[in-house]
Amino acid sequence: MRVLPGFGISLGITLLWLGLLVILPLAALAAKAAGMGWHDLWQVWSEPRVIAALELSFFTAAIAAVANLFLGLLIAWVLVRYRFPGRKLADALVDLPFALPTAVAGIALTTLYAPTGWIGEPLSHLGIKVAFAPLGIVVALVFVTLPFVVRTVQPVLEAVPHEVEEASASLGASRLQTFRRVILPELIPALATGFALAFARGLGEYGSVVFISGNLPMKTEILPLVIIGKLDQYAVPAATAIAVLMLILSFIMLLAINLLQRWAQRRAVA
Amino acid sequence: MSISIDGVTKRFGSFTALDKLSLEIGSGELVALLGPSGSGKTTLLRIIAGLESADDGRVLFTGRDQTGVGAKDRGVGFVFQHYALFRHMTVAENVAFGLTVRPKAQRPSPAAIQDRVTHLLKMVQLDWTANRLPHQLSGGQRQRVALARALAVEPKVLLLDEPFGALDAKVRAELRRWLRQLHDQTGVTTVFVTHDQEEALEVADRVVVINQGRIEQAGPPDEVYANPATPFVHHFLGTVNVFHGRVHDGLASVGEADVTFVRPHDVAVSRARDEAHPIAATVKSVAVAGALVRFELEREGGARVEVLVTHQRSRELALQAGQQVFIGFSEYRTYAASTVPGAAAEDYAI
Amino acid sequence: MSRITTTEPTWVKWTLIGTALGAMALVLIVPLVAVFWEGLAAGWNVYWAAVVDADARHALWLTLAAAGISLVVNGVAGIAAAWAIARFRFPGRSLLITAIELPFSVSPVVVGLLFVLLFGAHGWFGPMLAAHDVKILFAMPGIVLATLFITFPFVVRELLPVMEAVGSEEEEAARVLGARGWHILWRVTLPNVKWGLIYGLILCSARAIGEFGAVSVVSGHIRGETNTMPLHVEILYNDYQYNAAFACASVLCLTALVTLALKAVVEWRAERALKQGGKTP
Repeated sequence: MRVLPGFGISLGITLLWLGLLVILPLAALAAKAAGMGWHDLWQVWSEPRVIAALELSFFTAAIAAVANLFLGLLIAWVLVRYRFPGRKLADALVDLPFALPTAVAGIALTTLYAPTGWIGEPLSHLGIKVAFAPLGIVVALVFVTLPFVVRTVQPVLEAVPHEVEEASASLGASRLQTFRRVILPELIPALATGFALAFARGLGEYGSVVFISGNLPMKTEILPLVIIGKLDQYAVPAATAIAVLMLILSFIMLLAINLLQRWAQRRAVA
Repeated sequence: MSISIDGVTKRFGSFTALDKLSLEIGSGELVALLGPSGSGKTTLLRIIAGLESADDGRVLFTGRDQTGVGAKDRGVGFVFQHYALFRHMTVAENVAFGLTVRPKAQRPSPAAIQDRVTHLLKMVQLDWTANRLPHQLSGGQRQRVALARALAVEPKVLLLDEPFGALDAKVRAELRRWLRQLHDQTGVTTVFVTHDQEEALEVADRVVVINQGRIEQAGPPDEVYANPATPFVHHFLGTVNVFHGRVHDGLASVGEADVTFVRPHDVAVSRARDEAHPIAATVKSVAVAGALVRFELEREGGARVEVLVTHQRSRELALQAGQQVFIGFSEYRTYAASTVPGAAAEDYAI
Repeated sequence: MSRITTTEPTWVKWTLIGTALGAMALVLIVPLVAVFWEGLAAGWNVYWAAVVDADARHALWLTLAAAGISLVVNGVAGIAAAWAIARFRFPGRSLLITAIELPFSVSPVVVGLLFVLLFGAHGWFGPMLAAHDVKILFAMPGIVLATLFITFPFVVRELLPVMEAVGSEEEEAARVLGARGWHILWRVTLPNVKWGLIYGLILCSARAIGEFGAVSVVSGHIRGETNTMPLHVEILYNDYQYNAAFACASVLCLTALVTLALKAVVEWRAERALKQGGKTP
């Protein structure tokens, strides 16, 4: 006997909803991939165009995540530790990339960083090409994944007790030593989680990248774009194979994120 | 309405919270379930309410088996330890809740509900808070709202989980007296859980001492206090001095396989050794403990003895730290060492 | 009280603030300004014409409809899931939590592909649908399904921690007082978790309105029929109608800004509600 009512109906709705909307489509993908067999899958995965796209997606996502590691930590630090006019507004604005449709971000960034754009023009005089080059993809991904590190670090930074810092200072540590040896270690699990989330999102991002990347096969074509390309050619099996590859990558990331969060929780308890 | 608890067992994983526990509670009784934390007393209360189901055994209300009857339909009033007031509803809405959720046919008219709420809030002396939210009240006031809410549905049984646990000492004492009065007015069968022996002894008609999922003793407060059935009860119901050994003709012989418990106010102190005061001890400290005076003594070998005497007697003795005194026991109980938890330990005074 | 030992020198502090705000301005504000700037560059008339264009209005309608359906379905199911997971212990519970989070780690384009595999000409249900002349892919149902998948976890994810934090004592109290399931849900649970619910719904609607990759795959890009607002922006942009594209994009920007404002308000209210309702010792 359960005290609170509604277990059967709520679990029923949940399973039905999950089953029809999520499990069934994923099962269709799994069935399709299983029907292809390892050999066919491998053939698609080893296409030069796919490997180039995988490398590009991987590196641009990694670089953007590293950039946001620093930028995110800086923003989180400033928002948590300092009081200044406009702080609340800045805090609210951090979520803009989550709220703004990615296609809008994509066309805005492309216009800004194109050789004729507000930012692209001065950079082009310096010989730096952003839009329609891998750097453009990084710029788009930095925008899209900015909130992840900020939002994972912020609560942890808020929870670091002042006493720990005071203890460190009273033991003769300089401010920089206190930051490096006392505060930063506390933040590492959160930073790692934020990095992983940003990286995972970057791997699969489409809307903001597709405009700025230029989509040159072998040069600036990301993995999701290859899927679209295959679909346009009605090559559904090839698209499926690439989708499976992306899913495997995201599940590895999901696993990593879960392990990181467990690690962070253990540290919080200790 | 009477309650019968018939061989109730409850396990949480490998931990046995209740072990074939049986208890009869008479109609109109005010019973305290007393025990240390983890003894299973709250689990028992929740099983009576239908908030927890027993793995084995039954709960009967006036002979009717309640197994399979949900908490919704048992007609009990339950006061939660942290009150569980609905935080977004006003005090009046909280009290009215149980009536307003009844099916249309059984629901009183809005005016009748209003009257009942006003009546109950007056009874708990909180009618002036009717339109406030719970967070605007003090702890003691919340407790009384929770009680009014439980009583609004005219329960046949009132169950309270550590009702005064979260309150400060003065409010506690007030609410205890008030709960007793309320029970005498309404006559509802009432069971409350507490870990505070003073609270149980002062308020209840009958005290049920529970330890490790079993009943150690059940009886009226004076009987349980004066004639503890087990060393656990003796220990739990107030401070005891523990002596290893048996008392022969007023003389304690140390070292036998027995343990003697003596309450601090049952230790007699004298400045001269005589038949009634055979044991030597040294005064370590003298301190006023409210209405009484507490002596802290030390026997040869270092065992501590706590003694409580009246201020009158303290003045007569005029003791100071370091003085030699002699003690004897006016009341004591001896138990076989095997029945006393931790009896192998050195003599100690609690 | 200022804590001398745990504060940086003033110049360090203001350098850090300046750098952070400068970076935020560059990364976040400049693109936002650019959208409105480009949209209005050709004058107010061109802007207005682009926004009230029949295709644009239809796209907006389709976007809002898909978002509305997502809110209702994922809202109701999210409440049910949060209730089952937060209030009961059952085998497979943590597996269920992981499964609910799954859509977050699937790339939008892959989501689109999943529905192609189900409802496409050679998909599982493709032939059956064709025989009955039902269109899911390249039609509104496909767009709705893709949006549902993408926004699936938002409401549960926000509700779960709030329900765990509130605890079930008030619900048990309501049960003992004789309340039925619906009464408990409507009068005790939902009022207690309403800010978490609203927060989840805001995130859900923002994502639904902005979804691009998944919808792009399943929509078929039929103007005036299966174009959502983001797809409409894409088409205009690729047609070199920059001003119109940015005009429509600015409408989406406004929804994003409204979302942020609502979010801030809800966070503030939720914090206040939590402070007031917190258990006192």
